[in-house]
Amino acid sequence: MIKFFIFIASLCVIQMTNTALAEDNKVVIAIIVASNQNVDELRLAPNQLNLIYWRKQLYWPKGLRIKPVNLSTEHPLRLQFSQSVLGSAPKTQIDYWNGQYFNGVLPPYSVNSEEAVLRYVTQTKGSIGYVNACNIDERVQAVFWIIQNQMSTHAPEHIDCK
Amino acid sequence: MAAERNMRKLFTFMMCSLALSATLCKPVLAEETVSWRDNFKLGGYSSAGIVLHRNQEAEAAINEISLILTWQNDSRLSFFGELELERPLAWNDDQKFNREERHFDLERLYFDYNVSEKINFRGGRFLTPNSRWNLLHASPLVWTSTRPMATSRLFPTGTNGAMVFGALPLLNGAFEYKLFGEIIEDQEEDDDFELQFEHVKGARFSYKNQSDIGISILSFRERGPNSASYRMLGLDFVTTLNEVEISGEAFQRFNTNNKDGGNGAYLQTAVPLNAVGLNNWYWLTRLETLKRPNEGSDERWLLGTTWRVKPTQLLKLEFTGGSGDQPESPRGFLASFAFLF
Repeated sequence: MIKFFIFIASLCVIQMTNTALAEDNKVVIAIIVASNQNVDELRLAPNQLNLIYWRKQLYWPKGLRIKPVNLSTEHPLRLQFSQSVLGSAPKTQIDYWNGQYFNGVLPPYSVNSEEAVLRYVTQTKGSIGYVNACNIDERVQAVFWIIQNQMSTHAPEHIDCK
Repeated sequence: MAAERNMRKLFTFMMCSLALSATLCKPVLAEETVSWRDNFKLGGYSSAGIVLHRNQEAEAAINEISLILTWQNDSRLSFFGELELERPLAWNDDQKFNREERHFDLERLYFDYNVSEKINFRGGRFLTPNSRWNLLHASPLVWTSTRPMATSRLFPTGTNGAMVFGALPLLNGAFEYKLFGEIIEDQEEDDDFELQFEHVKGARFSYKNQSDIGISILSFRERGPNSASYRMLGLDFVTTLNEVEISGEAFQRFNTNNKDGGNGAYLQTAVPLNAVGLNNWYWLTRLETLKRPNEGSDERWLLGTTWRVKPTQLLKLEFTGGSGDQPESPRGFLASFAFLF
């Protein structure tokens, strides 16, 4: 009987975990730049985001240095962004960043909260970041969206911000 | 006398390092104006280890202390420099600490200039970009204490010249190119074993996605008693399958008559030992081969384990065996500790 309850409890835990993961993937991520940034000048394509966050493209077209900002490695939005854009989890990228450090390239600046991302993007020239699409405000503008782990150049018709 | 001179050099190096650190690591206050000095960053790496040779005296050494200095601000220009003090302290059974192996090596010194978002220009001394291992050879970045023979005995590891490089998005990954050529020949021989090259030029193309793959072509002349010109094709990859890292490189040189001018390859796996309760330990296996003109061919096998103490620290233990003697690839037991700072 006890084994049966443990079995049922395990199933519940697995179901809850799966639901949580599914919920996480439902978060629409907005890729943001400062609201006063002329987006046309950046000539930014969705597939460049990968280069920018691997720090293989370091400059915008007019020679302005790109300053990408990340959330901390344990932040759920960082995990989702990293899987969607870079194809791997942050903890598996240690070797890559150690190698980049050896070549003088540091990983994107990292902050702990989405509000910190908004402030960094607002106050730092050449910066780019990402937040939950529900959290963007007048300080920033979205250039792309990540919907169900797919990059989109169109704003979603409806975002569930409950 | 020479020892005294070297000690003086070592002392000067350490004092300069400390002074530089004190200057560059000055805390920046929010209200301070950022000066050009604040855009410098200093880091580096070091390693120390022991080697129990199969046929020679046991030895221990601080293998290197390497300082990396970078400078960048919001302009298109940036600077990178790496100065290495090789084997500042070495001991063996026979000569104790009386070995004179320490020397400075300017590994890299270059300026980068961004021309456009896809084109950058590099001028100075840089690592020849024709081998993945060569580009990431620092001891805390590689799983083993020894370097695969093929990555040090077939081509120039450094080049004094110019490079055009950049990255482009391709499919869901990053395509990178590097085109380079030597302008100034290497003037100094680092040690008796180092091969000398000239007229170096080549290209490297790599693609990074779930796996990294690279292809490189190189043309150069090897100086020395058997001086000859070669062209070389190199292939390299690293991928992860079920958490097992598999990497390898292969090089084939051709002489001016399109005949075999030497070749080499290695294949390496790093298997995480989490399944047996050893978190952050990895089991290493490597097979290597090297063939140089007039020198025959050598083989190596390697079995070992590496503990990632921290993301920037590795403790390595390995047994190597095989045929032939190569200065940078001893046979026997090796243990070392390496860290980034």
